[in-house]
Amino acid sequence: MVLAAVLFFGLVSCRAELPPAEIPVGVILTLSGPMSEWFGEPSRQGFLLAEKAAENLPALIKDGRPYKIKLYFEDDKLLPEEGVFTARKLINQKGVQVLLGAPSSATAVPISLVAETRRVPLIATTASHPSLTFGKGYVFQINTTLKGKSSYLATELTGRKGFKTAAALYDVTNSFSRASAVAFKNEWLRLGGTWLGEVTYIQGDPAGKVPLEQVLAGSPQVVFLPSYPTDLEGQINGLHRLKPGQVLVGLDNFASLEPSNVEGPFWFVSTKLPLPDQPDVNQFYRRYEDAFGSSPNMASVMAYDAYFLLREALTKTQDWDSAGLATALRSVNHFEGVMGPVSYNGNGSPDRELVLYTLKTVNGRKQIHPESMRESDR
Amino acid sequence: MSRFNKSLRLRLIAHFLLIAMLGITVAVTVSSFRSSSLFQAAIFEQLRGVADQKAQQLRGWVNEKKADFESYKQLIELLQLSFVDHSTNEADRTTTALRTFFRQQQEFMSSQFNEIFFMERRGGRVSFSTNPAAIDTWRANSTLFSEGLKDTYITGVYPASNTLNPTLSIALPIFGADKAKAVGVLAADLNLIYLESLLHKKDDPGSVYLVDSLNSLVSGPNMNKDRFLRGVHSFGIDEAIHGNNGEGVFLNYEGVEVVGIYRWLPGYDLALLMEIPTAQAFGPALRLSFEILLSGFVTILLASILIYFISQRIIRPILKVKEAAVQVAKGDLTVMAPILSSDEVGELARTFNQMIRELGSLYSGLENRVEVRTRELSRSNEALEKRARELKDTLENLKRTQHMLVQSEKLAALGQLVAGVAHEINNPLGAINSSAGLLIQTLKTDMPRWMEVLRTMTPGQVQLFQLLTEAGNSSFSAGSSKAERELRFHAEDKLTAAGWPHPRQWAERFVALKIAHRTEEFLPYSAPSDLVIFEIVQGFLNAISGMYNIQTAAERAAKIVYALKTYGRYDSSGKSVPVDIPGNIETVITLYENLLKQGVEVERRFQAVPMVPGYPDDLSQVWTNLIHNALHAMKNKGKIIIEVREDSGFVIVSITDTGNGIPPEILDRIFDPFFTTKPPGEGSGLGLDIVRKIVEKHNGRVTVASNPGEGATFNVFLPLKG
Repeated sequence: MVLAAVLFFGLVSCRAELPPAEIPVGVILTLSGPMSEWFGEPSRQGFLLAEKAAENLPALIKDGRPYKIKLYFEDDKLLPEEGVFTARKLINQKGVQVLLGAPSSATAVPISLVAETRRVPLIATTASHPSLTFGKGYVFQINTTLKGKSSYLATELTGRKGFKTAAALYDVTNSFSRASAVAFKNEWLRLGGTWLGEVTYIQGDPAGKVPLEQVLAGSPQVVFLPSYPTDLEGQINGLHRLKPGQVLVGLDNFASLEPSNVEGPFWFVSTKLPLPDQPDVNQFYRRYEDAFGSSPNMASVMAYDAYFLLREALTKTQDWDSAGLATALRSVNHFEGVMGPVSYNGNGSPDRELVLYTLKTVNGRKQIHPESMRESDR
Repeated sequence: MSRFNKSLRLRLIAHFLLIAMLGITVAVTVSSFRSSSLFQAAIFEQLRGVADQKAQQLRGWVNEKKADFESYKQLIELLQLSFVDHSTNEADRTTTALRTFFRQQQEFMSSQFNEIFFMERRGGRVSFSTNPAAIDTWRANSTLFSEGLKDTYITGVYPASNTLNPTLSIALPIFGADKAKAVGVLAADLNLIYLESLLHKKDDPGSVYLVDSLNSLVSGPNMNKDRFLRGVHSFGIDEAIHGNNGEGVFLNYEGVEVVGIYRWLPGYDLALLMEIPTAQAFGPALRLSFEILLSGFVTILLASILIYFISQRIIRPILKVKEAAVQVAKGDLTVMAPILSSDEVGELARTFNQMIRELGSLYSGLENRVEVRTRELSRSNEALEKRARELKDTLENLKRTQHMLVQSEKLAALGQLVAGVAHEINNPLGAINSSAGLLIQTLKTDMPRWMEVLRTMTPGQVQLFQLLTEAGNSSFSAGSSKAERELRFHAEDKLTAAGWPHPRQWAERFVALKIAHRTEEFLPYSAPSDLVIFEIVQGFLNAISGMYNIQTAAERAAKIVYALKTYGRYDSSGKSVPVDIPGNIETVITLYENLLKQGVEVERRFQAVPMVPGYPDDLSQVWTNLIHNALHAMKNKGKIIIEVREDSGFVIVSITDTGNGIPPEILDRIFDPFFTTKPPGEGSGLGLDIVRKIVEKHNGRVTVASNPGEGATFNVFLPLKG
């Protein structure tokens, strides 16, 4: 009896002192290639900051045992094939239960196919392609889809601002760029606007030149530019050199612009940006800058939010298998991230506020400035 | 079990069965192991051959497709030249040529390829595809496009990024008319259905499947099953993925134990596994083992029956000897065992019969000897009974003697006590008597003369009388005899200087009257002629001193009487009463003071302790005996420390002396009755025995600790709860 008691208390005390078990989580980022500057390191730093912040929170507990999230980083090199390869590698060989990241639509869409067929929840960060979550039960976004943003942008431009004609310039090989142009065009036409046409180019095509003159040929009031940040700044400055005062519009891609390097006028619609003058975001900025010596971008913030969204799901349920976590994520309602509140309400695309931003000069300094806001669709 | 131990035949058969079973088990185990090894080696050999053949077929198939595809390329490049007039765009010409070629070869090519498509050099745009949904998609970022632009490129098996189905693709550049620059990439996804038919033949010795480098099944019956959403894992798969080739017995990805071989196919990024479940592989070996086991059991059964009958024949003469032995054991010495054979058992029967005959003759002689011995024993018994009675009487006498000795010991202690008390009372009475005699003499003889002198004293003499009286009654004391001598010398010097006759006698008188230290002060008031005044005052002071002595002696006698009263007042009714242990001890110390004050110091370390239920007179006897022993041990010189304290529900009395201690060799015998170290006649040896019995009567215990030369300590533990 005494021996049994000693063993029992020994086991209980050992158990109390057990180190936290790991929940393997795969993180796929674009860590190499031209887009790594926007999607790669800033995203990784966002995840690392979240991981560090989680150390100060109570441990995740299941069946009386503490757990912690273990992140496995992989590089998709912005290649769809590589995205599929890394996703399969993380699932089959690292045994991850959840995938995070996939910041680019170009790789996020094929990765989402892997996640869906293997029934592994994926929380994508900045990717916003409509087919990312469409018809899928295991794929979730931090960002909103292109369709809602395009709709709001077109509504503001044709309605409040009274523009009638529009054209687009986009990278035909880039799925985000292509899908954005199609979505904006459809919304523009739906709202009664005149579509003057779209001009395509191929990013990095050594034989081709981006046909800026061609897009201005029909004198559109508005030029829609859904280009990646690698091309966008050159296109804006090139178009404004050809036609000063030309109205240029876009989506999240404009959020990557450095205001001092470009000229207006332009407008863009994005998920509410975490601007440092917002008190609730300021503390995140300070911690990020203290840790990495640079300011976060949208990818960093969405990475940070994706980590804590997963943590929210892990605290909501004790059913930590893939199906249980997917169910918990679908039922997330008003998760308060740095980017603002997130609600899924049974769908993988979040219900978020959208903001129309413009470039303004305040006190002699150019800055991105919110002009109007649309409440969530739902 | 008892039947087994009693039956020789049963044990004979059981031991035979045990040995036979052991032999069969060893034979089956060895043959099973050996046959398994042989089967395993044969299976590995067979699997190796088939797997190598499959790998070779796979390579051949892919190379064949590659060669086919390259020939198509040449045909298409030739065909596109025929469309020069229709289009100046080389990519468009290629697309047109492909459409034409495919229309011609559609049926054949559909059986060979899942999809054939052409990617234009600019942006990887798919301008032609057998899958209409793929047309106008852009594949600039695909490896197939970037590598296919350079040269013929064959992928490993990979999941297509749009369908995730396992795919193996071939891509090659299509050149324009000038042959200088590729206009695009012609690519095809091979139809892996053929691969399935290649891998899975009806007469294959085991199951074959392919796994890609990320643990996904790319062929086999379980390829699209939801059970393996996290890939397939086994020892063989993991080894092959790490680039190793080998074979072994392991659990396959479904948890089934298999005999399998694994091969890594470099260039295709595929692991090829061929497996046979061990139950199937080792079935013949197991059957063989079973047959050996069965035949062994049948042999044992037959042999057991045979042994049964043989043992009956062997054991029968032994049983006859046993039956004869049973009769002998019952007292029948006339029985004889039959001699049924001339072997060892027959010899046994003969020897047994001889033994019975000798036993009979011995038995008849033995009866006489038993009768003689019985008579002798009867006489011895009577003597022993007589001796026992005598011993019983002696024991009773001893008990009576012991009781008398105990009483004697008690009386001796009482005698010591009474002698002490008498001595104590006698001393003050002597002092009173002496002082009273002195007073009577003073009052009778000196008082009339002093009265006469006092009546005729001058005023100066009266003043001197008063001063001397005050000084004599003062509390001054010289302190020591040396100081007193110094004072006498001082007074003698002063008196000599003042011209007093007989200054030494006067100086001694000054010392007695306590004025020696004030000689200069008294010289103006006195003169040698005042001798009578000095004598009167000295006489008065002597009388007063005598009266003080009487008072002190009377107080001492009263204290002794009080102690004696207290000692005698203890209840001797035999009932336990609360006892104040320190008071009880103090009484004994008082009564022993005459002995103690002659060179023995008593140190009391009494703590406030609760009353102890007990018998006060008996306890007084305990302290008396222990203190008496201590005084004896110290030869009435030294120190006794008596400590009283409370600890753990006991009042503990420790009596420590500074005698020579108790030698270790007798330490455990000192509480034995009649044990004594005193010379004959001085002690009965019952003192500590009485102590032990009294303490045990109080449910307590007494212990002793002693180091030779350092005294001894007796500890008496008296429980607070009786």
